[in-house]
Amino acid sequence: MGKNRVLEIRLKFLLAIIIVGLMTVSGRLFYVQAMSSTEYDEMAEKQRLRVIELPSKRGEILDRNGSELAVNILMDSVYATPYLIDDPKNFAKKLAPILKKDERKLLDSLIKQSGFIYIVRKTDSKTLARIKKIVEEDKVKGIGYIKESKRYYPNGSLAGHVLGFAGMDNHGLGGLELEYNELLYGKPGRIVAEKDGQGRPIPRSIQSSSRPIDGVGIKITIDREIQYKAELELAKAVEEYKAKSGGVIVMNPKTGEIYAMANVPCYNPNKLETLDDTNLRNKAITDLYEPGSTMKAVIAAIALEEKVCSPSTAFYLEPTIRVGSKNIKESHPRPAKNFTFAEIVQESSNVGMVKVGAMIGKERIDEYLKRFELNKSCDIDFPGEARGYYPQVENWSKMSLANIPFGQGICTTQLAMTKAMATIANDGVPTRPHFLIEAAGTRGRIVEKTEIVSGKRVLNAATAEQMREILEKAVLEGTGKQAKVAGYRVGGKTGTAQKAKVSGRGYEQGKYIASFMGMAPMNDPQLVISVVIDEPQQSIYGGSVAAPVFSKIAEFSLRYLKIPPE
Amino acid sequence: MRLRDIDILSINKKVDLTVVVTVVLLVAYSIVMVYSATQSNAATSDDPYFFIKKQLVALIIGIAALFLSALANYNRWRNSYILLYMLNILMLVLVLFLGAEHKGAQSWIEIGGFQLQPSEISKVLLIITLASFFATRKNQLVGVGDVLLALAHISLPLVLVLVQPDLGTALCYIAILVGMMLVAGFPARYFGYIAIAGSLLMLVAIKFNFLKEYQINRLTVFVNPSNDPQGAGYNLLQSKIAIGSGQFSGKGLLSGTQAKLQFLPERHTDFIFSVVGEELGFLGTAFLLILFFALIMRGLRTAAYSKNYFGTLLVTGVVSLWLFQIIVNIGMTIGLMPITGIPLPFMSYGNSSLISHLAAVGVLLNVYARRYSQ
Repeated sequence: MGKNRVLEIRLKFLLAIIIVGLMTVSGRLFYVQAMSSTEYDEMAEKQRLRVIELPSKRGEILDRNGSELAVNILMDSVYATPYLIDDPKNFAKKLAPILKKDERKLLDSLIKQSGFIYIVRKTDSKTLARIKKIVEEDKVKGIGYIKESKRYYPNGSLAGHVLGFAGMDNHGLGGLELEYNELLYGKPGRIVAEKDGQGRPIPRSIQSSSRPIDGVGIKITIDREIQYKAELELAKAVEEYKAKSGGVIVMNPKTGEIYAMANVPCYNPNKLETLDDTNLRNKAITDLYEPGSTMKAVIAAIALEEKVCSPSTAFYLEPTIRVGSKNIKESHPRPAKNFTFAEIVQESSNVGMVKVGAMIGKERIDEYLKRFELNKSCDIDFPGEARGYYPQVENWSKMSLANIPFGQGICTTQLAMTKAMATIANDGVPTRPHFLIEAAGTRGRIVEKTEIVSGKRVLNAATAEQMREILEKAVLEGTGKQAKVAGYRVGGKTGTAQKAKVSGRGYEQGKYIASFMGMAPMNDPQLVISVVIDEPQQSIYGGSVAAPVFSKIAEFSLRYLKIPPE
Repeated sequence: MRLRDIDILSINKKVDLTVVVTVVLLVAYSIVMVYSATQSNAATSDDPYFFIKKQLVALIIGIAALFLSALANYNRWRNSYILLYMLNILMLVLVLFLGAEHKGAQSWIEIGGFQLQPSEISKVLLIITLASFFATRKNQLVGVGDVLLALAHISLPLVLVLVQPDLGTALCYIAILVGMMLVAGFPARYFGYIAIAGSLLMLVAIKFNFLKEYQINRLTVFVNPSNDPQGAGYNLLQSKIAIGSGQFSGKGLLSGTQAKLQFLPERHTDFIFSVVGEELGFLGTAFLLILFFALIMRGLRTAAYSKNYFGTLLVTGVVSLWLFQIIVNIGMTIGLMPITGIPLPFMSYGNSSLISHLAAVGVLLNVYARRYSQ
């Protein structure tokens, strides 16, 4: 029958729909369950397991005498379990002014499908009390309070650039806090537990757990008192001469221990929110500069070591000297004059040093600069140390050979120059500058200890001795008179360097770096102190700007360390 | 309903055993899976059999409904279809006034601790009345006027369920209508018209904000659930993770982490299939699909063997309803279809759903049994 035939076709059509529909579903099912199932399996695993971190206590930082430089204090944190909050809108509205946060953003976090959010971390007791009041008045559910340890620097900004700082999660983010973060941080404990769809841990479902291992405390070479004095005197000078910044390093030349490292302007690591990003670097270590005349001490030592000159070698010096197309001048103009080799250093004569440099020759200068390791970093235990730089000797022009002897056309860090000066102080043997004395665990177990590393001898002890005599005279009779310390024999070298242009060739007009690098006491130097002041106004000379700072810090340190006067 | 309508002898001889066995397996499967899926629910913390007990009560009522719809000669239903239609409307109106609101929809009437969902029951009633309507107009169903009349027939219940709002049931009505029209002999182009009209209606609804933003999100997010894994895509993503992580042979009954740890929403109702996928793997889902396939094929066979046109239409309605619900429900759990809240027949927990689908089985058996006699 025709009618039945039509019906049959239509039912077959329905059958086709059924088969296509069910085949599609089965095919897709096979794809999801058999072909791509491992991917889904991992996703299930990932969202099922919850890792709860048990914070470890961060190790403290002590100075060389055991004074606390960085400690931990307990602060209050407030957290929430968002889905338990009945009226997040109202809560966000009341919370926003207290936390000084945007109400919308706050609300967004309060309605997140998450089992845990921080409302505020490591806050003061006043804020905590205000939050607690709202929670009690409005009977807000799902709010919890915990104590979290926060890094605190009891001396405020003291040695801020050296210590660095630790962030909200107690990880070191700068300075020694970063360098020794692994030791200081310890190892947080972990609980791996199953959680449900709302992020709540399932009782009795702990898969694994480990206890937190507290961080190890470190003792560093910084002496709080010397550091304080260095910062104080440096700050005074920077203020007096309206300079941009300044740095001081106080170092023990025999051991390489850094007693003080000051940077001005300083910053207070307790007030992270007020930090100026541009002032976070410990410039004495991280920034390069052209050392200027302090380099003359190094070049002079080379000349003595190589016996090119003796202290009494006589020179006739014109007021200026022509090198290629350029006239090299003295920074303190003078008439043509007879100088001894020693006087060239004492009076810091550029013209004289150009001659001495030419006598030594570029190969030998290059060789000794490498022995002094001025082409390298000092390998100090501090993040971000810059590496000294000067052109490859093959590429030296006439100007290079003339410039480098008085410290232009060569870049070093203040630390590297201080180390070079310390080599002269230490009878020609360099030592590695460092901060860490030791890292000790909870029961006094020493985890790490710095061995004093002496480098390869650069100068003979006799040469170093000769050089020190010249440096002493530079203070007594030469450019460094203001570095004198009552009751002690001191020696050192002034530096007044032009600042190279940041971009382009040549030097900035009227911008100088005034420095002084010296040592005391001269019979057996215990301290090397370097002072670098960037862009002083009014006076620009190392002898008048930096040398007095040296004098004050040296005087204090020598007496403080009970080094007997001579 | 009179006693002499019950013709036990002929049922005995002519009962479709395949259908009976399939349905028994499906219901048993469902009870096991619902039990497994509800073990972490708050309601089961005191009584692990809370949902199972309620579903067993529904099963007993459902078996009674099955007998009722299987034993009475279906041909008599045509005579009282106006009455059934009015009963259907009355139920759907009542729920709007007496209904309890649950999850934003007013779909349930509370009767002594038992929630009746009229929209589920109305699906079966609509199959009967629509089939009756088409059967009375046999051989005339070719014009545009007939299409409009058929649309009018479903539009009143359609509007009533949309008011609840229950989009899922509304779509089921349309599936029933389309299935029956297909078999009733409408020219193919009418389906094209309906499709176009439907799309236009959808556009208008979106344009004039008739659909809420979350509804649109829910309807479109299945294309890429990772776009919004915490929001609209959450259910789908969790469902896919559940099914996918079940792999070939599953994590074992009662061991599905997605369901146990409440990652999977609506796990004993709309997403019961995901629990099957997670705990029993591809073996479990394939077995379930085979059961559904068998049931639908027997339905189609019954439609072809039916003594009369009315029986064919009735069974077509039932088959269309099942096919639509199965494909849309499973499709949504594996990201082929938008999430619409349509339960899986026989499997999803739901008292009214189980009762009405068992009644639909009764319709199927009824037509099968009378395939030779008038």
